[in-house]
Amino acid sequence: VTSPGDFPPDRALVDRARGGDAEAFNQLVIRHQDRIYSALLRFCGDPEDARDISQRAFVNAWRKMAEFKGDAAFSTWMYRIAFNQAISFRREGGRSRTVSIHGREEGVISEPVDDRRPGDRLEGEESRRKVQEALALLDPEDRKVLILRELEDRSYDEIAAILEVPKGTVRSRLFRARQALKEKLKILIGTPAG
Amino acid sequence: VEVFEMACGFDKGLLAAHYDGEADASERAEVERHAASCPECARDLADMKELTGRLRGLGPVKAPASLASEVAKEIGPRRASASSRRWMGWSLSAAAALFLAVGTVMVLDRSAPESPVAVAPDSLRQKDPAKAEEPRREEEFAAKAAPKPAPAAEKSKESAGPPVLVVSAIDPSKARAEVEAFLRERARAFAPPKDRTGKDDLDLTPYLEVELTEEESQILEARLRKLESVTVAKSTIDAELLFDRNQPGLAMKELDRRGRTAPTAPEAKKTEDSLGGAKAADSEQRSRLDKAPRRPVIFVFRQAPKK
Repeated sequence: VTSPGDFPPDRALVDRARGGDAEAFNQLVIRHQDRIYSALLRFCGDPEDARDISQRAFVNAWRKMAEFKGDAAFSTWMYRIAFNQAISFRREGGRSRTVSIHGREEGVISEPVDDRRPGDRLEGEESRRKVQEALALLDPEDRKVLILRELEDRSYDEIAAILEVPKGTVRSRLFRARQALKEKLKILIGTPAG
Repeated sequence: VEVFEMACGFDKGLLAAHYDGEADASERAEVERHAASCPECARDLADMKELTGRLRGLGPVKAPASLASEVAKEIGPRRASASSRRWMGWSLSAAAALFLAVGTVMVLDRSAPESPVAVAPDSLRQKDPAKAEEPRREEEFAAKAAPKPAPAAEKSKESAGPPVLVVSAIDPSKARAEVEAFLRERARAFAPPKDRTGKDDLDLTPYLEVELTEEESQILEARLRKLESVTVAKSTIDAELLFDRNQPGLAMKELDRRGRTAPTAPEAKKTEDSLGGAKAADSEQRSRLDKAPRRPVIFVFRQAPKK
């Protein structure tokens, strides 16, 4: 499974990295760090945890590089490692700073360019915080599928490959996850998402 | 595959696929036909759109600036490319190399006449949490290395890491800026300098590891030498020793001694002359240089000892 921009440059770097070329791997890290960090930040809700997990995931990927057969895009493989790492991190206890309902963790909520009035901006920020909180309340599988589709813009094929489930499961899980998120938002915001 | 149905009995997974543009033509037609007469599914489609808007409002996030360098630091120079590995000849295990390197340094020290110890900049001194224990450790290592001096020295030479260039300047930050400017000119963005210290609290990051061709290395050395009050000396100290967290004080002390006493290499002066002006050579040789093999070089910036 490929995504635009993954081939051929990634493939060439992957081949070199598989041969033990740390510099090639470093270029892969630079290329993929934003998307991996971003997905992990939305998944775990804490910037420091996301940073730690991203670092561990890349180091882990380097160690497993010889096992990577190259039949999927590097990004697909990397997302899988990153999410697995996040689950292990939480299982091991991590720093256990799951985003709290009242949490105001810096960096979790990015600040898009916004020329609205300050009052509206605050409202927007509050709304984004609620969405992040609602995400944190979801089942991890639901969270993953939503992040990959809605935030990372991955195709169903890629999501199926990352999560190692049939494509049909991606469809139904996405519907279920959206329903669940809608319910959580209803509780947090007090109004239905729709 | 689970089929998600609600009150209306329609396959909601198909509804999601249609919304996400992942349904085929016949599926699309099926959904559109159904949604036209089903208020529940029409509402579901509207809700999905609303949710997408909210989720995308979270916006993209950039990874912390230091993430890639932290990863690079962790996977380490020992696992560099095959060509680098061959060049570096780091065939020994980390522990053995370190032991032999330290041993060599200690043995050479014992035979060399004692030179005055230079004053290390405060920023470097702060790096050493185990400063109080240095002398005792030094003695322990010397004692361990003493029984087999000759083979140890030989092995260490074979297993030496990247060359270390000790750049002493009244204002080391200017020397560092010169190196960084050179890297920018070379558009070495794909091989970013590795910050080996990762210490944000230091005004001056004293180490910089870069990958250069042999000629680039010479050009850069020549440029550095042109700066006011800058001396460049090649150090024979093992790079691994420099970055060993357990022995920082030992390495810095050794570096101080060698940085202070090592004379300016005559061959470097010759290189500068033969290039007939580094900048002119720079543009002419660029394409050729870019094809030449690169290897790691570690720059250590230090304050010039007070006279």
